[in-house]
Amino acid sequence: MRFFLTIMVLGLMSWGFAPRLMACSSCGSGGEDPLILFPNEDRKLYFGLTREDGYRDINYDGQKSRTQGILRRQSLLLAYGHRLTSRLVVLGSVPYFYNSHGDESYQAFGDGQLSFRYDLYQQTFADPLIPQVQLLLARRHASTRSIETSRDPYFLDAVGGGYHETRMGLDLFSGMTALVYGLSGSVTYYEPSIDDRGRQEKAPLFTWNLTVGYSDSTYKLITGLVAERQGKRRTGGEEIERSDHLKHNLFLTGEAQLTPLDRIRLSLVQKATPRLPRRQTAEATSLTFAYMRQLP
Amino acid sequence: MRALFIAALFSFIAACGDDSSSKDQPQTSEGHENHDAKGGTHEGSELEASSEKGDLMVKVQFDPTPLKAGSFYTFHIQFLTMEGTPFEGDLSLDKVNPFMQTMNHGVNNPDLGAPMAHGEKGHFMVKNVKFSMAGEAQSWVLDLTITRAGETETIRVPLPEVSG
Repeated sequence: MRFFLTIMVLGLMSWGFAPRLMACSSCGSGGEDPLILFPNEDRKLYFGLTREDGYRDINYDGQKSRTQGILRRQSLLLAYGHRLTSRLVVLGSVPYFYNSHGDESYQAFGDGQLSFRYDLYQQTFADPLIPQVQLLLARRHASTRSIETSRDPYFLDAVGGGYHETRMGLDLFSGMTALVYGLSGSVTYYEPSIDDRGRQEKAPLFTWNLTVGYSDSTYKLITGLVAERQGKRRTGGEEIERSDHLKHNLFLTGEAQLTPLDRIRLSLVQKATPRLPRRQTAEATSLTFAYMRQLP
Repeated sequence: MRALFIAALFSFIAACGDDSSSKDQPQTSEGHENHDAKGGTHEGSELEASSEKGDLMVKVQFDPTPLKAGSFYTFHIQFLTMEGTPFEGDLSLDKVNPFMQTMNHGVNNPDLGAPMAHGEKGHFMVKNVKFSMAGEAQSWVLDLTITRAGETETIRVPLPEVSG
């Protein structure tokens, strides 16, 4: 609780010193990549501190139960964005996790990700209601332990996804008027892995992200819903019944520009939100405080 | 704008609170007979499964009941002929491995005991079996690795609901 209050107070105090924000035309819709480069930005750094807890396991019928695994996960996400051309941006990120269950804890780097965003259509002041359209492509290399390969009784060493991932999708965002909105859809493919039980396959993950919000020249406040749906897994060629999963995450993000080069963001996410469809997943609440610095 | 943000933030926190209609509730075992796709059955705490070749039956009992995530259980495992008489042949139970099929993971349990011969022939016992999360019936299975006549095979026993 102290952590939540500290970063909320820090965020609100910083707000008071924020100068005017430049017009936003490439804000993305959150959820897919932590770092977005604006058209006038060539290089940018991102530091994000996240605390996630309140875990509850959700079974196939949507009932929840106390988890026996990680009770709190704190992470630091380091990311760097680099503009390659006026339309193409490359983003790299690596997380560092501190997982705990009571007195037991484990810390390690997670899986790194490399992603690209290409502007298929760039929003203009002439047509501010027509959204920007971006093509997404991301690759995550599984190099750490996952829940499937964990050796810890509480899965504390599970800091990765366990499968090499390739994600592609489209991101629409309109950010030139006071009312901002965005919509994105992506599909993540998982490379099969082989273990002593044979070929392990995860079905593609489909993700939709709907964002609405308000933006003026200094602040941005957006909220939205992220929906995830994934089919059944297969092991040794056999489909596992009741292994498909579904969840909806609600998020609320506030962002402010402190100086022409510095920006902060506070984001609250309720994963597997109660009262919305969910199955075979985990409920959790996460709070992220992020600082972004544009490099000259 | 600041007031709007603060109001929206607190509204969101309130909206993300616990769902009162679905508080954590221990999920009790139904106790009635269930059938799985591979022909395993269980009634109460007694479970049954057969080898892939269909020439060996196994009956499994656990104590205490019902199963609950995070607790420790003793499993009694009895190998029988298909006629239901104790299996008299040469058989060893090498490994007992709880596995959650739907999540594709097992249990990392340093306290898990090694299977021990117990009582009559073909009867084994394993102590300190634990389940790392709740799961509905048949999401957890018990994989029994056995060796008989020099050949190793695994018999999978579907388990009833493990409550949270």
